[in-house]
Amino acid sequence: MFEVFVDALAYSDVLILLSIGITLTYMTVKVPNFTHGDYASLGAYIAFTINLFYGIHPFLSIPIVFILAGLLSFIFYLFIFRPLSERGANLVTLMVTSIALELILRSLINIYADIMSLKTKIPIFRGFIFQDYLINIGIFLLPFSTIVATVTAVLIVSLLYLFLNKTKFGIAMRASIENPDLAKVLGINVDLVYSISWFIAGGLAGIVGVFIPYRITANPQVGWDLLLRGFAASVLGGLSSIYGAIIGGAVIGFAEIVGIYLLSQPPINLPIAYRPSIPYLTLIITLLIIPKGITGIDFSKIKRKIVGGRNGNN
Amino acid sequence: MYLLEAKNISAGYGKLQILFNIDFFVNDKELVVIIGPNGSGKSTFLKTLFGLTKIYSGNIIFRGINITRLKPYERARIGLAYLPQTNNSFENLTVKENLLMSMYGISEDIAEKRLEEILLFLPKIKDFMNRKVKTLSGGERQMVAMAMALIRQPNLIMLDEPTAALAPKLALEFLNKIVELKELYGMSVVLVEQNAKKALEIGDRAYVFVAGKSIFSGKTEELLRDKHLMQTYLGLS
Ligand SMILES: Nc1ncnc2c1ncn2[C@@H]1O[C@H](COP(=O)(O)OP(=O)(O)OP(=O)(O)O)[C@@H](O)[C@H]1O
Ligand SMILES: [Mg+2]
Repeated sequence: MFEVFVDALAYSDVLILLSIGITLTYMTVKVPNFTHGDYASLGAYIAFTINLFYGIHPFLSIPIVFILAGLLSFIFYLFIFRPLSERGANLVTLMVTSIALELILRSLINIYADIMSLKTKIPIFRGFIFQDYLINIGIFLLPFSTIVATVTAVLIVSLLYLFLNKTKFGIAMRASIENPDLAKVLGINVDLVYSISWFIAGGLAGIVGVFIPYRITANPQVGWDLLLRGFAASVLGGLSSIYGAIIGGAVIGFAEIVGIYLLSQPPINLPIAYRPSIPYLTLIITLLIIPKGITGIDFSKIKRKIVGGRNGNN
Repeated sequence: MYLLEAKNISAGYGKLQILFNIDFFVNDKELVVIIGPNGSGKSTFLKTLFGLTKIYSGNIIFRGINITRLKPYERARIGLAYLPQTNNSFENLTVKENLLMSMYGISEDIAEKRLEEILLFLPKIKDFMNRKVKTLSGGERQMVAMAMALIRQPNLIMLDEPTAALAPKLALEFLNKIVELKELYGMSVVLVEQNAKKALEIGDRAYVFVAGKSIFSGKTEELLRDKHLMQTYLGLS
């Protein structure tokens, strides 16, 4: 059971980083961005290539991966999504555009992988893993990658929290997301704020790519495979708050790993092949109960109810 | 030279034209009132002056600069301020954060001074500095929004029905404060008001908008004397 928990933790870390970005881009331009998973594929390939040619440990390439994936997302915002959105493109137009971009991006990564495996005669370009090892912490044996992923996720979430609440630019980001017209009127350069949001969103997805090859074989469509889970996590979180995305990522991650573990045990004995359906079942069931997602829960109302109920008993 | 001049403005939302060939100007230290029936394009005109609509033709000159193509945030930084009719504060931010945002791009020390000054002017705001705007009453919100528009001490402030959410007594108090402020900061004011009578009493000049056109411009006394206009379009006698 402990291994299952560790596995779920590693998986959640990845989904949290992914869904923060998906939520952030959705909040700014209202586009469900299908290219988001490919930033992760890109990140995986950058880390792999750097490691192969320069022997640099994948974790050390996190900063460069963050910057490159962030730049790509930023460029997509600046030259494609922003102009479209300014011309009044609706959600479907934006979404279809992102699907087209996704196909192009995935093809480019495929081409890159093919060219590189031909050139270097290293066939693993089309499917590679990073070597992990176990670390002894007290009585626990933990995979090093899980520790780094968890520390990274916690660090990023804390930094984001400080950024959004304690810095003027971060507050401006919240303001611009809530009411862009008012932000402009007050002298905030909303374009710049949104550009930075997209940069951060893409960068975080890129980092995801560095961690994936520690758990599964990475190939050019590994990010695409993760994307729908990222969407599930974001929708579960309500698509309107970064904190919702964090909870959504954790819920989906744990539901999939712990869920399939429990369901594959007697008496149910569900085949492991059903695993990919768990995140979506979790999503559907949760949304049936709380239609607006996790951030749609009115916690103060629940509190009042509990307190009120107590008073009633007195 | 006018402080602000809008020449032959036609504007709207996307392809939907709302304003037709409007000529408009504001002098230094002048209070200009815009009145007109609901849906006549008053708010749209203020938005247009701030670059939030689509301008089909015409030019806007502010302090000698052609600002027609400037981005809204650039207009804010050269001394133009605007209090929108609706959604005029950030609900999920605290009052303090709202005020901080309305001084975006101003250096720390000046910002601090401006904050002190606005709190002297609207001291009630101190009572809810750390609350989120969404927990405030309509009147309290309007006070915050007012402070946000004024805090930069702009050369020209455009107020879109600033007293709509206020109790009648407070509304009058507010309008008097606007006059006071105008004198104090030496700024100009464009005021859109439902309370036409009171607005015309405190204003220097006025415009009457009907169906996206400006059908009257002149001294407020002139308009107050024009029984026909007052009755047909403003329901006043
Ligand atoms: N964002 C928008 N998109 C499309 N049409 C709009 C938009 N905002 C306003 N309109 C339309 O523009 C016209 C003028 O509206 P506007 O808000 O400028 O009137 P107003 O004179 O301020 O009215 P009120 O006194 O009710 O505030 C109306 O017909 C309105 O329906
Ligand atoms: Mg209006």
